[in-house]
Parts: sequence; C-alpha cells; structure tokens
Amino acid sequence: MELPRLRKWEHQLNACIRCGYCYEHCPLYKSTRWESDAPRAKLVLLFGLLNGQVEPTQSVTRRLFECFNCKRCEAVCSSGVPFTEILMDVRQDLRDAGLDLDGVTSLNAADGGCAKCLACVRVCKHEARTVGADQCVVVDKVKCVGCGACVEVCPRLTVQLATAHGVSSSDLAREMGSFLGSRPEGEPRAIIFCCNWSSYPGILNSRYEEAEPKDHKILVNMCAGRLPPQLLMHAFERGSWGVLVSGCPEEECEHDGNLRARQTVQSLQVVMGQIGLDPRRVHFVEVPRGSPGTLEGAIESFMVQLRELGAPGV
Amino acid sequence: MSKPDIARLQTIVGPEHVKHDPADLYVYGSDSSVHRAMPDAVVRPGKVEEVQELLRYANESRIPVVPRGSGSGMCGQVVPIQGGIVLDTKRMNRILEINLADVYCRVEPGVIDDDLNKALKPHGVFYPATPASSRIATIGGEIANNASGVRSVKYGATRESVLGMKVVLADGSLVTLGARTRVEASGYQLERLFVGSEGTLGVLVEATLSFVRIPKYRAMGMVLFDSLDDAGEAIAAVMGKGVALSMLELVDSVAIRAVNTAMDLGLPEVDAILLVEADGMVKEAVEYEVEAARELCEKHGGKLTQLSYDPAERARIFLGRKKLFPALSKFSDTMVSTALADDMAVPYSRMAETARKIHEIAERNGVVMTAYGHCGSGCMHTKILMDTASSESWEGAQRAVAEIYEYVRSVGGTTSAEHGIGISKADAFKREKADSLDLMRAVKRAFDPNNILNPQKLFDAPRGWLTATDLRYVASR
Ligand SMILES: Cc1cc2nc3c(=O)[nH]c(=O)nc-3n(C[C@H](O)[C@H](O)[C@H](O)COP(=O)(O)OP(=O)(O)OC[C@H]3O[C@@H](n4cnc5c(N)ncnc54)[C@H](O)[C@@H]3O)c2cc1C
Repeated sequence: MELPRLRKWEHQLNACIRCGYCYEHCPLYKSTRWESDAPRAKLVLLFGLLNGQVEPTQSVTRRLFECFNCKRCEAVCSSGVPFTEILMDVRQDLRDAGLDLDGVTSLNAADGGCAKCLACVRVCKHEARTVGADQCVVVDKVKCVGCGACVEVCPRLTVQLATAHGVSSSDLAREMGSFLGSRPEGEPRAIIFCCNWSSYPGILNSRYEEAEPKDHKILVNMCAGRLPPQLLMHAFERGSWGVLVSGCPEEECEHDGNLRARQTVQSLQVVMGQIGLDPRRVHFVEVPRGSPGTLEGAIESFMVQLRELGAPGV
Repeated sequence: MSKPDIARLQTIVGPEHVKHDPADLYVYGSDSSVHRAMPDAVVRPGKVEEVQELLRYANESRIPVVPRGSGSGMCGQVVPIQGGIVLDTKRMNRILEINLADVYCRVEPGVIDDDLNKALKPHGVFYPATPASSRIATIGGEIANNASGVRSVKYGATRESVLGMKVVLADGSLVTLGARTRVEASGYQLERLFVGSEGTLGVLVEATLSFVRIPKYRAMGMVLFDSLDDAGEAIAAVMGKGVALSMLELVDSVAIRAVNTAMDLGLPEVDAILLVEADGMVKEAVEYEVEAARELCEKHGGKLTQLSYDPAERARIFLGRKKLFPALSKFSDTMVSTALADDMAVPYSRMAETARKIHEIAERNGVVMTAYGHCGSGCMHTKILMDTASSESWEGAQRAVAEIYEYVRSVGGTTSAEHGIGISKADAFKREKADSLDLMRAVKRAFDPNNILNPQKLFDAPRGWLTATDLRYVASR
C-alpha cells in the first residue's frame, strides 16, 4: 500500500528513541495498560506499516484512529516527534486506501434521530462536522479528535463517541456511584472532575491502596466542557458533599470547554442556592498544563471547606 | 520450541489479558534497543498463582517465556528472539507494604520506580537506586537489570537495596530468597544471583527493598574544565580520596554542543563539565564534601561555578545533563541516536582516556559518538549517532562497538555498568567473561533445564548483534 503522507515522516519514526516516556501521559494507555495502545507503540506500528512489516489490517487501522489528540505525549517526547501530525497524515493515507474506522471519533447513531439542529456542527472546533446532502451531518474521521464537544450539545443524544475508554458520562456516573456508596455514613466525600487536557494528574501506574485518598475520588474526563449538569447534580443525589471541576485556563482550552464548564458550574450554583444547598459545594478551578501542584492545592482547600460546611442538609 | 495454545493462556489469565493480534505482537517485539522479533502471545497475569500456572504450562510444552516490565531496556533484553510468550508484569503493580520501623518495603514487580518513590516520600524516605528512566521502569526490570543511576555513587546500584524476593521458577514452583533483615550471612545469596539475571532464571513476583532517609540538604555545582584529561584526573582524585559525593556526572564537549544546539541551554562550551552534588542532614557536612571536591578539582584545573542549595536552581543546573539524551536524538536531520555501545564501566583513572578513545574510534568508523555518564560510579554512557538508512554506517557502527569494548576490556573495565547485556552487548560480554561462561550456563541449567526463560540472551545470545535479530531500522542503501 502506498502511504505517501506517512513516508515523509520516515526520519521521525527512526528518531523516536523508544524511551516510552509518553506512556504515563497517554489517557488511552492509562485506560487499558496495554503497551500496544501507547504512543510509542503507534510509532512502532507506523514504522512497520511503512516498511511492509505490518499489514494495514482493521486492527492496525483501529489503533491509528484511537487517539484523543491531547498531545501530552508530544510535550514530553524525548525526540520531539510530532506525533499527532504524523497520525493525521497516516489516517488520511489509510482513508485514501479505503480504510477508516471509528476509533474514538464521534458518530451519529445509525438509526437516525438527528434533529438537524446543527448544534454539533457549530460547536466543533476541528472542522470535523459538516452539512452534507439532505442537511445530514457528515463526520470527517480524520479531522475528528474525539473531544466529545458535539456529544454534549446534541439534544437528542444522537451523537456518541464510538469508543469512550472510560470517560463517557455513563462510565463516570458508574465510577462516581461506586465511590460515593463505599464511604461510611457521615464521612466527607467529594468528586473531583479532572480534564485530561490539562489537569489529568500523574495518575499512578502502580497501586498503593493505603495511600489512596479516602475522602475524594478523582475522575478523569476528556474536557471539562463536556460535563453535563445532570452528572454533577447526580453526585449530590448520591450523597456527595461537593463537586470540584477542574479545567484548562481560557487561553489553553482547545474546545471552548473551559467557558462551557464555567457556565455549567455557575448555573448549578444558582440551582443549588434555590434548593437550599450551599453553592460553594460546587466549584470550578483552572489548572494550567503541567502543574499538578495547583490541582493538589485546590483539592486540599476544597476538602477543608467541605468539612467546615459539613454534610449537605438536603 | 513450541507455540503457545492461546485458549490455554486465556484460561489461565482470563481472555481479556491475552493478546495475539499481529499488531500487538509486533509492538511487543521491541524495546528501546535496535532489535526486533515477534512473540506468539502477550499475557498479563494478575497474581502469583497465574504466573506459576503459566510457567508450568510453558515448561511442559517447551514454550519460551520472556518476562517484561516496561520494555525500556536498551540491549534487547525483552526481545523474544525465539518467539513464545511475553509475560507483561503491569497488572502486578501493588505496593504491598511500607514498613518504616524495619526499614523495608515490599512491592510487586510491575510497580513503577517513580510511583514507589511517590509513596515513600511522605515518610521522608526514598528508594535510591533509581535510573534516569524511573518514570517508566518497573522494579522487576530494574532488579533483573541491576539498574543504577545518578545517585548510585553514594547509595549503590539496585543490588545494594534488594533484601529479598519471591520468584517463580521455570517449573512453576515459588521460592522465597533473601530476608527482610539488613544482614543475612548464611548459604548461597540466591537473591543476588537474580539481580542482573535479565529474566533468564525465573520470574520475580515480589521484592523486598530497603530505603534511605531523604537528606535535608543538597548542594549542586558545575565544575568547568578546559581539558577532558584534567576532568578525568579530577574524577580519579575525588573518588580516590573518598570524597562522599551523592552525584558526580561527566558531560563531554560533544554532549555540551548537542545540548546547546538542541535546546539552547547556554552550557559553557568547555572541554568537559563535571556536575557535583553532596547531600546530608547537616549543612556543615555537605559543605565539607563540596569543599573537598572543589579543592581537588581546582588542583586539576577545574573551576566550580553555580553552587546552590536551592531546589529550583539545582534543577536548572542539572537540566543540561537531564536533557542530554533527548538532545542527542535531535542532533541532526540525517542522523539518529541508536542504543549501541550505550554503557560500560571503567576504572576512575581511565575515565578521560576512555572518553577520548570513544571519540577517536567513532571518527575512524564514520559515526558520531559522545561520552557522558555517572563517572562517580565508573559508568560511561554513549550513543552512536548515524544514518540508519546506510549499510555503510551499520558496518562502521559494528566495528566501533567491537573496538570500544575491546578497549574497555583491555583497561580492566566491564561491558555493562547498568544497562545490561541482552543481545547487543553479548559479544563483548562473552569475551570479557570467557572463563566463567560455563559456570553461568550450569547455573542456568540448574534453574531452567528446558531453557524456556528468556532464551538466547547474555552468554547464550547469537554471535554478531547485527544479524542476531531483525533490526528496528531499515538500511535501504
Ligand atoms: C531513556 C532511558 C534512560 C535510561 N537510564 C538508565 C539509567 O540511568 N540507569 C539504568 O540502569 N538503566 C537505564 N535505562 C535502561 C532501563 O530503563 C533500565 O534497565 C530499567 O531497569 C528497565 O526496566 P523495565 O521495566 O523497562 O524492564 P524491561 O526492559 O521490560 O526488562 C529488562 C529485563 O528485566 C527482565 N525482567 C523484567 N521484569 C522481570 C520480572 N518480574 N522477573 C524477571 N525478570 C524480569 C526482562 O526479562 C529483561 O531481561 C534507561 C533506558 C532509557 C530508555
């Protein structure tokens, strides 16, 4: 198979020293813990594709369409390999050859249901959604980075991510429920939503049960702007004392997610005031990329405040 | 050797923990080395019993098993040269116990070094044998490689921190080796035999490690030399006089240029830089060591600059060394940095000569090499920078590797300081250890009579690293 766009990256594929420093930053790797899902592995596969050692099968194609484009791997790459640019190029090569797969891209449910409101087209920052014939929304799987902004604006829940790797609203709700339910009566508990793009903490690749924080649970989502208000409210229904949402600073956010997350939190604060819950129980914090200390500090003071406020009275 | 029955593997560890798709196998066939080979399956056992059952099955059916941590080895240690099963330890990743009173911790093999140190830090202690790759390297991989790092000059290599371990042998039996106490006198020190055994003797499933107190004070400075030879003499003087430094790193002029070119760090463009660090609980004690080092370095023409106790300032001083590896991979648009002749150890008095020799050999063979390393431990690192598309470069690299290790042996040095032997350094290793190879083979037979554990590595690797396996590069010209 001809892979003209990939071929121009041959030197970069050789330059990768395969140190694996990208692992700990890759949300996909952290979700599956298979080395073959890490950025280094994708570069290994691309090398194999280029040199005819790897067949461009469905399985290989799927892997190359599974990447949240958060670019965290690039930021730490020892060899400065422009990972996402290479990936975009090979996706295009594969598509030209008649191979593309859903990966983590967003899809419109096959059974229709699209209201043709075009909210998803307007919200997409990546020009991945356009209007085709009959006002149908067409998704460009090469351009779609799986940020999920479209998923959250779709009024009919028609838009879904093909694979969510533990970050869909239902996955988050499940994890949230099991943590909140496990806390003893009367003990503080809170949910901390962390945006993968900025504040995804260096979540341990190892487990040390004793050290695990008992009073809060960190849940990683792909973008703070994707958190639906119902999910945050659900945390209170399940007994949470508070919800902290962390997102990127405005200038760093690639999807306007920061603004939407702020709005979600603000409107929730209003609702909480109306139903007699202290609005300070839900809070938004900006965490710039590469500053885990900011997040840790924010969690600590949030938990102190929740202890002062005590258990929610409603 | 036979191929594994995938259904059987799935029964042992659960279907979701077995991979046999060619895309996965291709990825798990390489590490940070130049080598590549395909396994037949990758399995991720979650507990000791599963490891036992896997090995029992593999032993009966004569299937190779290659234990794998994070695959950051640089010599092809985890490249499954005969296919078989790659046993990925990443699900066995629990820190089981931190016992402050008895000064040990127990961990599973897949625990990442940095994670262990994160867990230890709140207690004011650290695990010191940490390699530069600590953010991904697993404790199992470090033990099997006897890893060490910048602070090993004071705190020793991995073997100094390993008190005991649990190992599953080739026949599936589980043995407990060593102890949890600081000292243990009697019998063969079998736990030591496993340190550096590169997965050829058994699968480590638990390790008992000691740790040390985090020092209250750390001072770091940069000593500049106009001549590499002077720097070499200073190293020998500092170490010979027993100055207790916690770090002594060499960066040569090629390395300095590489760092400055790649990241504009503005390192002084001298012939050699020594980074010195001393640590301790009392400031005067730290000062004492720093002054002793300063005096000896000055005597040999060095100039101590930028000495600081401030963590941020120390980090800045160390940045040049830290960024060296990445800098080398951005050295030029036509050459890439390959993990060849990557590490060795030589006597302190030969440090400068070795660095000079490396440059000389590189030039003669048409490749570029640099010399840097934890010289306080006698460790010298280099990389071969070359055009990997050119067959001529590979021939030059092959000659350079052979000449370098021949020289290292001639001055009483050793083939591996810390990166291990695997496949790419096996030729040199076999020459260096010629009179003990039979003994090593006998030990291997005693532990693994059917030779299923990481076969064809160390003393058993094929002759000639260049043709031992497929390479991760393609020489198209
Ligand atoms: C950028 C970079 C920097 C590095 N810096 C250093 C350094 O400063 N110092 C240093 O010493 N090394 C260094 N290394 C080399 C390497 O990271 C270390 O040797 C590390 O210890 C390997 O750990 P791993 O988990 O990746 O092991 P792997 O590469 O997966 O395995 C290494 C060996 O250990 C065996 N093994 C793994 N787990 C087990 C187990 N449970 N039981 C039995 N055998 C097992 C394997 O079979 C193999 O032989 C560096 C590597 C890179 C890429």
